[in-house]
Amino acid sequence: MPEESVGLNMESQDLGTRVKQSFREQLRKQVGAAAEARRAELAAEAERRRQEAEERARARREKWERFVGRVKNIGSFLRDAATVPGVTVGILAEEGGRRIEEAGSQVDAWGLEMRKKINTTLEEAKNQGRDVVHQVGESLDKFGRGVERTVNDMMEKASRARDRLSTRFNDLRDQANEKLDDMREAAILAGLRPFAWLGERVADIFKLPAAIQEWQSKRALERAERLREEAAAAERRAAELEQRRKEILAKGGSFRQVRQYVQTLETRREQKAA
Amino acid sequence: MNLQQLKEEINKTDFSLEVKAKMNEILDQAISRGGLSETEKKTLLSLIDLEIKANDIEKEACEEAILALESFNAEIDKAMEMAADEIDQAGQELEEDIDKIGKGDDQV
Repeated sequence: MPEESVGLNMESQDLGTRVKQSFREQLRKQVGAAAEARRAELAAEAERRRQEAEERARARREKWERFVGRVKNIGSFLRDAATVPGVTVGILAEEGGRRIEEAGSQVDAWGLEMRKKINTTLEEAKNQGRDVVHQVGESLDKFGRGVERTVNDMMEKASRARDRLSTRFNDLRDQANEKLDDMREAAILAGLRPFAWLGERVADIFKLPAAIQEWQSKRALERAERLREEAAAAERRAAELEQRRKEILAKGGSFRQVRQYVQTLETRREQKAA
Repeated sequence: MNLQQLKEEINKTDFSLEVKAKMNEILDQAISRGGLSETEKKTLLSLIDLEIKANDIEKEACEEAILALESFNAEIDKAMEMAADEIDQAGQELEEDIDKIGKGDDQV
């Protein structure tokens, strides 16, 4: 190697070493101390938040399942109450009633107790020569309407909450993009072009409300389909009961026989459900 | 640590691909020349600053998003609890109505 070249190389190495040393110190300070520590801190925090969110999501799911179970039981109870001879539960003929009814296949303890109470009340009133069928029907309708209103209110509140979340997310996205825009000059000076990648870093975070909406729409469609099936089944069953009632009465059967027939159907359904 | 080792260290970090690409480009040139110029050093440091700032914005956005989601969840919880209470109340009223009908009260 020529002498001149060796000298230049040494000088360059010396300068390089000093620069590298200085750079290394700064890099250690900035990347090592700040970025690495921040990353570790962020990772620990993210993990803690993930666990907390998982726990909250589980609790919320359980709460939701209990609530849906409750509403289903009420729907089931109303459907059963409609089979009490002579009692017309108008709510069942309406879309709202069908919505409440959903696909409930079991009646909880409260529903069973209420049905017994209604049957006993009707029986006792009949023995006393009083006709209370219409009053019972009205009370059941009032109850059904109350439940329907409550469920609709809750859906409305959930929908409004989702809209607010969406608005908030849009605001946050705009704020983040503004801050990223402020970095544009520094990025260009550092030779980074195009600049779009910075915006993409936060874009994914803000896709969440749209995902929630999509999920809710999908669930609503599934629910509507189930309700249509349930409504068709309920109509078929009502027609079958009406036909059977007419047949028994045409053959000279008594009101009591019609009632016994309905009770037999109920027993069969309970056994099937059990 | 020489420039090659420094390059390897930087590539181990989870910096953005764009930032890493630029840093690699600068370091490759420096390695081939056998030294790092003052301008290159400043550019590398400003790239690191940029990355840290972008991280901060990302972190802040995440935190705000989590707060917004927590608030959304709290609203849903509250609505559900209210609905459950209202349904309980409606059930109690039905029971009272049936009791009144059974007793022969006119007002239901």
